[in-house]
Amino acid sequence: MTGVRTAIVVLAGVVVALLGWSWLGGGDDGSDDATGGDVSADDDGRPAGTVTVLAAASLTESFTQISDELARSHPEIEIVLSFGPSSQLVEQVLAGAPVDVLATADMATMAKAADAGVLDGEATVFAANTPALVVPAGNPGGVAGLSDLEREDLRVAVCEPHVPCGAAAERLTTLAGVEPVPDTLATDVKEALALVTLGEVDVALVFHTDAVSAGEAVEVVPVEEAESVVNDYPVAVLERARQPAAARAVVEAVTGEIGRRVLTESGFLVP
Amino acid sequence: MTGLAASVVVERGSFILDAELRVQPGEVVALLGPNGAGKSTLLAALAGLHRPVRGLVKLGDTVLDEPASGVHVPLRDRQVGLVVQDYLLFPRMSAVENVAFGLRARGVARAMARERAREWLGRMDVAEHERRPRQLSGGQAQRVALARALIVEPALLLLDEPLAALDAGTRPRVRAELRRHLAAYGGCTLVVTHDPLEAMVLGERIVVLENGRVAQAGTPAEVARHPRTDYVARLVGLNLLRGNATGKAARIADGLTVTLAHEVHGPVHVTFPPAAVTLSPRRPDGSARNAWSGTVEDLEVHGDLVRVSVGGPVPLLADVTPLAVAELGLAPGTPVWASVKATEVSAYPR
Amino acid sequence: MLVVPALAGLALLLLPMAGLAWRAPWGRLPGLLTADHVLTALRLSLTTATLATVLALIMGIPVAWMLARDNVRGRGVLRGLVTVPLVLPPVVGGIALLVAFGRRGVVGGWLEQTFGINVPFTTVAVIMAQTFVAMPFLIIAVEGALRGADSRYDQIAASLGASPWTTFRRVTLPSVAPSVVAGAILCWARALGEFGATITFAGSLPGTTRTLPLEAYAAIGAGDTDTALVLSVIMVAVCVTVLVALRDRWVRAL
Repeated sequence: MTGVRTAIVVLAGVVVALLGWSWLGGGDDGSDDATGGDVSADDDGRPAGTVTVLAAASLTESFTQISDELARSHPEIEIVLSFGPSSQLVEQVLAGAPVDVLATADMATMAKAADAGVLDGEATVFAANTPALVVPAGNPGGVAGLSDLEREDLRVAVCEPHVPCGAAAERLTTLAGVEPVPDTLATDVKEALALVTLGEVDVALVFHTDAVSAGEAVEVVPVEEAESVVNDYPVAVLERARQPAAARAVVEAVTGEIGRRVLTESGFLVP
Repeated sequence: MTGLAASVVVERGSFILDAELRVQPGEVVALLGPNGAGKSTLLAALAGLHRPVRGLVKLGDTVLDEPASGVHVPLRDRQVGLVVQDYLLFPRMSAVENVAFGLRARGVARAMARERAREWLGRMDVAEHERRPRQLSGGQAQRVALARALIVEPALLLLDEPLAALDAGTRPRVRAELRRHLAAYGGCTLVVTHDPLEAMVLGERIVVLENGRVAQAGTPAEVARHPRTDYVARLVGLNLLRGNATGKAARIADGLTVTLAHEVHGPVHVTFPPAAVTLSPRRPDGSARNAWSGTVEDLEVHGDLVRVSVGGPVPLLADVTPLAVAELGLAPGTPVWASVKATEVSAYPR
Repeated sequence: MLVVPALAGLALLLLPMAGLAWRAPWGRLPGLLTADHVLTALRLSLTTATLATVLALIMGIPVAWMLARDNVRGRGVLRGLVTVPLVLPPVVGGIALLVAFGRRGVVGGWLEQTFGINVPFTTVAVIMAQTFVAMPFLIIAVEGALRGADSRYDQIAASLGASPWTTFRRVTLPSVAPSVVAGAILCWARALGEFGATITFAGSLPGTTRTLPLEAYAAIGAGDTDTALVLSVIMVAVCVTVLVALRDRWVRAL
């Protein structure tokens, strides 16, 4: 019996410690600011509240940075970010997830949301991305160009055709007249990139920005046709947004000065 | 063949078993003792499941255990057969497969092993060859277990409370059968039991174990007649006669019969407790139907009672009070009549 | 009042399945069931789950036997480690497998350099991921049964001259057969439903590594809700059939 009691006490201790760490040690996540989720504007009339943003996986680094900078200038807005494959984000939105802002990695997925009538107004294109052929540092597979995607001896990853990076990959390979022989279909671009950085695949088609974000872990093999496959990134406020003013402030940050600077640094093309 | 010669010291926590035991080939020795006396420990040591800390276990010319020289033969190689209380027939094998198991394990071909197993089951009067253990009666299961152990011709057969799992109604018959089958086996047999009747019926010699030590050893008659401890006196206090029964009478010697309370036929064991024996100076009449004359041979005080050995054509033991001893003037050489009510007498087939 | 939480619990367990049945595109079912990609995934799933179960039986029963013995040192720790996959998020299992058997992994690198064998993103990787996640079910079931088995049968068998292997094969194993079957069924069902470790370690490629759950996930991602529903219904049907058909007879042995 004492064994059981000890186990419960230990377990409870671990849980409490982790909870404490997640609340206090998390740092600047705005743990104790007075902006509850219920207020839409503070005393000065400035937008405030919690804004939940669903963004495409390829936006992970740039949106995290934009959100950090916005938090500094607008401490009364708390931004909750969630990243994933665009198609899944749209599914979540259509399934009624409590979301305020949606940013996808292509127009097709956003069109699904627009068709369902869940957007508040039109979506705005805030960035564009081009596909990139990436290999692990040192290029162990000796990849020289797109045609190497056809090589059976290489391990190749491309994205599922229905996610933006997959769609872009399809457009690119079609344009170049190449038929890739993939070893796996990644469910989002970050998965494909991770396989390259882990060295588990010899080559993958991702977005240029992902190649930039991976730094020295990967090398980019230049592909001429990539310039012609431009992928637009739209962002929109959702109709059901509980904090429309705050949500619009987030979108303005993305499309405005902060966003343009951060996105450019990340390797995006900005309008 | 020198049979089993064991002298072992086994430590089990605070309990220490220190016992010596000899069993001749063809001999059946009953190991009798109260719970916790160390019977099971001794049995396990002989089976090789507990390693003695000192001593020597020899079976025939083979040394099975000699701690001093580090010799320890594991159970598998000891040539020791086991029959335990609940028989432990392999539940997913038929009777034949159970008996054939030992031969199969020794590499005998399946058909041959089954053939031999059938022979052994026949010898044990088991006709239900293809039944699973749980479809067998207790007596059948015991005989299958015995056949399973004997088919591989062990030099030593260990039986642990072989009758305890049976109900009281079938026990006498199965006990008699077991006695017959053990008589036909040429190896050494050790039967562990806590039941004195069982020990006396099955054992040619009885070894009494108490508190991890041998308290007494001898033939059943010797042990019963001259108990050396209170436990033995109380437990082994049983008169055991052999005779042939025809209906409600059993002939135990020329011209001597015992009247029984129930009908039996054939060879029987006749038993009655010493406390049921009444001693008197003259032939009694009344309801005590069995009466024999004899002579007092010995008197021993045990607790509140005096055990009187009566010699004569029907040797027996009687437990009487010290007052009765005084009133009757009992002493070695005193002629007495001993009587027992028929209802106090039990008769079992042997 | 135990009835209310009991009803709530039952509702939570059963409503999702009822929802599947309600939303499933029954009209399109025949067409979808015979669609190539569904059949391919179904075939792959059945094959890999079965092979994973066979592997689990071959390796898991000896592991269970080892854990059930009293004279194995560090047994408690070993049992804890063996059962970790039961509670570990499968994705973590997939990452661990990748780190071990990936081409830059400890074993994987050696395998590739020495034999030219590549494990990740192959059907073998699917089977390994499934075995990794599902084998503990079998081990736990069999170990429990072995622990409860009467070791005196082993003594009897030994006294009859049987080797430990003969004893295990002819006496011990038959006596725990119900638990082996129950464990194998649970193991198979778990392998059939394995997702996280598979997609991480084996990737997702139709015909090679895309099993039923991965196909369902891909279908959801592609917005093909009907296919996802049909695949879900197939999996529920398979699991329910297996578990209900064998419920009292075998699962009780756990």
